[in-house]
Amino acid sequence: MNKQRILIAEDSEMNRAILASLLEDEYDIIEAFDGKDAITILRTYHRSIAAIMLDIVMPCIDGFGVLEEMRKNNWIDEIPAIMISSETSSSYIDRAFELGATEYISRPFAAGIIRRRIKNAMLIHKKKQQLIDVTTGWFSERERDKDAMISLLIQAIGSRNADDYDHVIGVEHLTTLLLHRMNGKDGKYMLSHSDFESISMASLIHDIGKILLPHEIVQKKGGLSPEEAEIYKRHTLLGAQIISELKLHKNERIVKYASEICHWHHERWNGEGYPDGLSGDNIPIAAQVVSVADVFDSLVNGRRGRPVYTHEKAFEMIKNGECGSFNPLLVKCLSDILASLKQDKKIGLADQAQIFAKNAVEDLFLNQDLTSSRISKQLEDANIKVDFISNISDELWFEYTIQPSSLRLSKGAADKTGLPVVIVDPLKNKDFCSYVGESAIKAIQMALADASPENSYSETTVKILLDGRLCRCQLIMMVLWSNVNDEYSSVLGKVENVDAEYERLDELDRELERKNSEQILLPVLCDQDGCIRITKDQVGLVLRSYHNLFETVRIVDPRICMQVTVDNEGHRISRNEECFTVWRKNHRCDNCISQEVVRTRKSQSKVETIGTDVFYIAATCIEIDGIPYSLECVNPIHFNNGNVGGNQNILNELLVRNRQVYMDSATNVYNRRYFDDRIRNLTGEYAMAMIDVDKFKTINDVFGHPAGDAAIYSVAQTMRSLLRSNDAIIRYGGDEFFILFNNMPENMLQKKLEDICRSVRTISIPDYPDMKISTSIGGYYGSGRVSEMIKRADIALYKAKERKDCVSIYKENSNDAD
Amino acid sequence: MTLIEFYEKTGSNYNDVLGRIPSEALIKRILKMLPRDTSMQLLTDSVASNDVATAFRAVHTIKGVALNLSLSSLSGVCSEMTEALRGKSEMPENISELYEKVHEEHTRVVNAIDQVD
Repeated sequence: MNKQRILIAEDSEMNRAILASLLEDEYDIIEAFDGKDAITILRTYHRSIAAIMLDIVMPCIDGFGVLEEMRKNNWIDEIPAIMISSETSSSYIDRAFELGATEYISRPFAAGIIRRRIKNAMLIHKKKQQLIDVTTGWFSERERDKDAMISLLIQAIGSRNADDYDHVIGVEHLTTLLLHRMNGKDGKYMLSHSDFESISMASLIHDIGKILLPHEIVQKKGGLSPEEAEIYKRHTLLGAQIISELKLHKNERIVKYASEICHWHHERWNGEGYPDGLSGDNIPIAAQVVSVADVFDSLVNGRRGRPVYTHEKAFEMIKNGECGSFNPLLVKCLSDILASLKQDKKIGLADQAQIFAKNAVEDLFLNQDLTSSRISKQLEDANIKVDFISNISDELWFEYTIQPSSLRLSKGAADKTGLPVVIVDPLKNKDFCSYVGESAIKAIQMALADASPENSYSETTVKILLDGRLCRCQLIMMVLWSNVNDEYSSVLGKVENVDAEYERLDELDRELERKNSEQILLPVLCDQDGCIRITKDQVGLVLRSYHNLFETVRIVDPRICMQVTVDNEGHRISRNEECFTVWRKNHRCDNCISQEVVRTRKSQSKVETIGTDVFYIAATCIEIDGIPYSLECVNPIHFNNGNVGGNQNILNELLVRNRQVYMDSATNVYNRRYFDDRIRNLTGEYAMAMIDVDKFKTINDVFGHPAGDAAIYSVAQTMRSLLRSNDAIIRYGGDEFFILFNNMPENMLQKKLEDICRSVRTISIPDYPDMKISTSIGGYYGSGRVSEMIKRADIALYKAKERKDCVSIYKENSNDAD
Repeated sequence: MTLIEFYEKTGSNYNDVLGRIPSEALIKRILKMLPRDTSMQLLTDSVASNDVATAFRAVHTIKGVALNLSLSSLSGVCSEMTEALRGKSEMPENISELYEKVHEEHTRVVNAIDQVD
């Protein structure tokens, strides 16, 4: 096999020699003494050169100059350029890549690395070329198809005129050029790349309305009578009508543009055009651009026997208003592109398509790795899943993507709102905006403005029409961030109708106003779960009675973050305020206990701060007419020692207040966290025991979980009743307990544990008379760290479990338990 | 003098260059090219004739060679001079001082190369 050929362009003989000696085994080397030499060699041999190694600092023409020349001659597409330099500043490197270099290697380089990087550069380059070839082929095929469609269309319009075809293509081409020139000029008309494409493509059918005109008028050469002219003018409205009758694709960008273009491409800047006499920027920009292109192309191509003008003359005529007035900015743009327009004419249309296709692919290549088909497959899969779920779900949710700007609704959301499933550029869609309403859009934008990559979760409440009724809805949104810059790329959201919740809360609020002369009766705590159950008309009483004890008492609906509360006089106060506002937050508390309370029906407490003030909050579940809310009672914490003790004392104080942190709610003894925080690291001389409820799983299986709960509660409480106040009993695991005895002599341990074992055996629970409960207990007495000693108690427990319902004590020297 | 001794003598790192150019013969071959390399002469001439652009290019080239051969003291002084000349249209005031350093180091290296067997 022939060796691939590499050109080394480098002014220093030594550097050439170093490179050549490293590469000559694998490659055929050609050397160039400087940039000029390199260009000469490239001109002759460029088809047979596999890569060029290019020094930057060289006499006459430097490395950048060579790159520029390679670009000009399109050699850069064929030959990967690998820059080699002792320059490491990023400006050099950036410039090299901007000019099309494939690789940049800085000196000093190692032999292995340089070989590898040359291979990589060649490989990448080759892949890119293959990809460009494939895509270019695909694009030109599409262009060919487009040509066929246009021919068909022109024939349908009823024209036999060959130059109508050229005209349509000419208008499209000019539209594209004008758009590119215009975009962002003077800070006006910011359009996206896809807008360009859509507008250009849509310009192809600007005269589609002619299909519906009488043939004789369309085909008539020369002047039309005034009546005929009026009929001719109708092709604008007819075109727009054809498009509006489209059933599918109604909301697509291109259709929107096509409709604008057909309708208004004969309007003029000063309002003298037709059909509507729109003026200035009331004429959509797409139609403005096409109108300029339409007129200019007609002038230079002299359609239907009209005179042919030069580019310059045609421009003069437009500039002087001889063909009606146009947006001055567009006239300026036309003047800017005049020169390149003449040049373009020389290039065949097919070539243009090639160039366009190639540029488009290169654009793509700049931004992403097209070869990662695996990733795109995954994306596709994800989309299929979303589609599937969206179609079967009645829930209301949406997804908004920034690029392209579009909103996608779940089927449920589309059904309830009557909006289409996909809305392109929703903020510019009048139907959408008027449906949702300005205030709702503002609220959503504000909520999103608060989101950040660290906190991408956001919620807000807005009023939205659902099934024709204005409902308060909660929007829960999650922002996805693009990893390029700190901008969001899309927003996922769920819409929940919370009108009912609001109404109920309003009702409660009204109840508060009712003066109730009945004696205040504290509500009965129902069942064992600690949940308060009352009726609506008791709400005022309850709130007021708790208000005697707490500074703030309020009923919170955690789902919508809304509250009802009473002030010192017993009157209601703000209810339109979200529950987190008092804590000076703008979103739900991270540790929302009200949510927990409603979910678990169990009381919770926590500590919150406002500035340097600390508050203790106890929340209990309160069911009002069967609907669960959270009753929050708040008191400030006053530190007895002021703040003298510093953080540690505050912390201790808080820990004491938060006793529940350390209590197991099912058994009312200490929990595992208490053991981990307070017990496991104690050292000293202790008696201790591990206790296991025998066959606890069987109890659950046979009598059910409520029975199991009752059993474990009874065992815990029975054991606790036999302990002294300074012993600690901990629910260590599911059915395991641990007891640490304080100051108990060794000889007392066995007896104590046997007492416990016997007492548990006598437990009987009225609801489950047949249930037998017993425990196995492993005891240990010794000194050391609790976390170590507990292992021996555990060994003893294992021994006890062999027989069950008995006590076993670990014996120090026998390594075994008795 | 062996190659290792040469690198020791010129205060450079032999292992470093061996990591980059994997054969001793090759290193020697390239080193032996240094005495007849014209870049130093080009530098001398351009400094004498006040040609800043050429001087920059010449010293830049020597720096590149020195870097790849791990002649660290030579690349060091070249680097200093390169930066002093970069983007300049006139010679800096301390040009002769900078040049002397490069010349001295270059001469030292070239003399040492002559003694390598």
